[in-house]
Amino acid sequence: MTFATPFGLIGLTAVPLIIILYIMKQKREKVVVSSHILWQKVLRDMQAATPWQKLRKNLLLFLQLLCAVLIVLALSGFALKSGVHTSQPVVIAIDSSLSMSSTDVKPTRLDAAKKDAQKYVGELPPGTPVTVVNLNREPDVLLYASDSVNEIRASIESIEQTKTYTDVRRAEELLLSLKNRQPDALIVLFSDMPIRVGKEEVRFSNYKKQSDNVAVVRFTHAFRDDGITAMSILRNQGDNDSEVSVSLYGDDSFIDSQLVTVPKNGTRTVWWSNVPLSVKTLHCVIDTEDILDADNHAYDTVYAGKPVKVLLVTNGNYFLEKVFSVIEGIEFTRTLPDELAEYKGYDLYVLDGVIPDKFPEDGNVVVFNPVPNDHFAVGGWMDTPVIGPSEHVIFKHLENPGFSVGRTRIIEKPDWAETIIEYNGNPVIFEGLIYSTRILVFGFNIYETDLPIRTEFPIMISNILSEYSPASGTRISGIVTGEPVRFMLQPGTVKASVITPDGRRIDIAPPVPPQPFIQTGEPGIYKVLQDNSVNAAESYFVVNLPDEQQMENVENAVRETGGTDGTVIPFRENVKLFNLPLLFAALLILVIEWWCYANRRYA
Amino acid sequence: MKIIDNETLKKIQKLAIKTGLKIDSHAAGNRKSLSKGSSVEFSDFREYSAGDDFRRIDWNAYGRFDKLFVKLYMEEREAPVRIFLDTSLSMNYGEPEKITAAKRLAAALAYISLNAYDRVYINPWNSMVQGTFGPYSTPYSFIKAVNALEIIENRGESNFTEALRKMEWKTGRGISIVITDGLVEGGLEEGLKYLRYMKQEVYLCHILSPQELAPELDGALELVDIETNDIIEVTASGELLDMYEKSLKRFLNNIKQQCKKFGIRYTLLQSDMALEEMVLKVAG
Repeated sequence: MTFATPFGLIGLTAVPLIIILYIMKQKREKVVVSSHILWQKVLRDMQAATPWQKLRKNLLLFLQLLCAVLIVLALSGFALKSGVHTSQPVVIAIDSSLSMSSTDVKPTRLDAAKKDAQKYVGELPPGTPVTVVNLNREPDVLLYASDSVNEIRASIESIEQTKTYTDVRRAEELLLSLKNRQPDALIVLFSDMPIRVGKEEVRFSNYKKQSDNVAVVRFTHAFRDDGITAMSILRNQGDNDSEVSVSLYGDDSFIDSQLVTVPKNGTRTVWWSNVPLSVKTLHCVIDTEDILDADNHAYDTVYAGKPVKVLLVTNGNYFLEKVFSVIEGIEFTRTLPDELAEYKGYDLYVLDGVIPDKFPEDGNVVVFNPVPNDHFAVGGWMDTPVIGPSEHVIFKHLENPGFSVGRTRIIEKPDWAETIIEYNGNPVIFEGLIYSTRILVFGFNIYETDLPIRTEFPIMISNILSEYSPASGTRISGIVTGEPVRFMLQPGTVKASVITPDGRRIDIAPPVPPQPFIQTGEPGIYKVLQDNSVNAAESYFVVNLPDEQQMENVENAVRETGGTDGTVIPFRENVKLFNLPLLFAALLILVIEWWCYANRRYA
Repeated sequence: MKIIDNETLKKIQKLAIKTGLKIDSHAAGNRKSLSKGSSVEFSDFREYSAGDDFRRIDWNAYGRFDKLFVKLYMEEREAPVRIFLDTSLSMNYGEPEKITAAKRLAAALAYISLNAYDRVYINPWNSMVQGTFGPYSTPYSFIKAVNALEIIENRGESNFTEALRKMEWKTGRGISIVITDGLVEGGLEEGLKYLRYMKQEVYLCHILSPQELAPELDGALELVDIETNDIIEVTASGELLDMYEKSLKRFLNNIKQQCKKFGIRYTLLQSDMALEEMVLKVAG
């Protein structure tokens, strides 16, 4: 026997209350009679007519007490442990997301969930096929339909705490697909939030006991004349206002601390001014302890390096000249092809209708309107209608990424290149890598497109600058735990490595370009070391927990999936709930009590 | 308490002429008629009391004992009339109280008996006989009997059989008039049987109050037993009162059957009846 909601037992206090009320019930009028002899005969006659009359004296009290107890049991989620007598397949889904590391359930929610899951497995009849699913950012099936208790136990035990949020949609899809494969399977969810799986029944063991947690959900900075101003946004997820101490560190040195009150279920912005320009990394931390420590930290990197040097080589292109000249933070130079002696000394070369015999090695190259050259075959022209859109990074933030092109060069895509946009098999925009130099080619003259007159044009150029200036290779931002990082190393780099927050050194190059870096499970400051055989460069990137927006997405997903629409049934151990039968029984007893009262002969 | 006033007494005198306790020959066949004279065998003496015929005083005995004795003859010997008056607390119940009606009836019956020159004993009883008042043997001693009845107090519970068995009997055959409400622990049957065993011609005067015969109760009540103070909780309703009526009928029929079985004259009386009506019912 157990109780799903034990606090409902508080209702038992109604029992003494009923007894007191019963004692204090209506006073009977005293009437003196000559003898009880005749009355006792009457009572005996009545008892003979209804043998249970003897009990009836206090029957109403008993019925009221019974009714109260039944209601209390129903509210308490009275349940009986019921052994599973069939070998119904079971899918055990354990949530290992960040929130499961909360300590409101000791030692942590995840530890408690794993322990309960192990206990549950122990109660299953032998031979029950069990599937174990680990739910986090990338839900994963650890074990499929195994009836080996040892395997199941080992699989559950292997689940480790992650610092990501659960992708609810993927979790639902995965569980739904498992359910489709085993239609009679019972899904048992050990988590701190309900997840609906289509219209399937989910037994939900909830580990969220309280939500008193304050987190740093946003942390960024901006340059001011007098230094750096940083901004932290704190969010209180609890139902009470919370006063917390929050501190700012720069390059591991203490800078400032503030005591702030964060309203319940609200946010509070904390400003940090006069942060020295010399710092390269910032760390904001909530010093006040709460149930979840991981989200008390947020990190940021400060990029205050030299401006990007851009060289535009063209015989004359008003649009390109204009757009680069208005972009702040770059050092822009325009030259005629004939005036340029050597392609050297710039971070980004923009070539309009010009292609040198040898691409520069110290910067990346963007080519517009390519002419025949030694690097790829360029033929005549072909008419091209509207092109795009594309998911490529240069089209990021564009409201309408498609644009009209009058004609494009007929180009044979070289082996080193990847097509970004093509028309009838002809690459219109493509990119590639020659040695360590990145080449981006637009196979048309922008004068023959509507691109320059569109509002998206400066944004696209800005995207190109961000992506193809060599420094962008290390200017990595917005990385959240578990998210892979794609490095664009500086041209000429032959060796690179990453030092993680816990001090591990992980080599990422060679090969060049490096594979995506996936060891971002730990939030913190990561150091990137690049060696181009001449000198070594050092840069940083930070990994934070998913931000508030992502949390809201998760919550929305929960809402959309209707986490409480009845298909997610509270579950604790292997039990059978009796809420409804108990309530019906209470109602029945209430009716009987009323009947007895209405038909009472004597009390 | 005046249980008999002059008006009532006059009525009883008239009734006494018309009525008399009918004694079966086999019970007291020697209860005589006064007109049969003195030619019969001498039987006994007894001390003179007011109202005795002077002619029967044995002056020789007076000479010897300095006390007046009257001669009794076999055919003149009075029938002893014992009035067993229930004085348990239950008799205090009713409007009017049953005990009042019972005492008035007892007085009336005593008067009738004394007018017939019977010896009258009054035995109040509850769980035991509370002494014997009398004998009263002449009409003039009626006032003594009335005084005795007036000072009798009601108390305790009633147990007729126990009371009779503990009683010391000095008389033989006779008349026993039992005045009770019948609400007696252990019932009346054994007691009545005992009286018959003691060769008594028995009159059972069963007095109940109107409140007992047709109780008017309603609602949630605590019924307090006047004798034991025990409490029974009832919620009086039409159904409950119907059951009571049935129970009462069974109770009365049971007593009637017992009386019939033992040859006892049974009369059911109601405490609010006029005395004449009661006397007529009992001795008419």
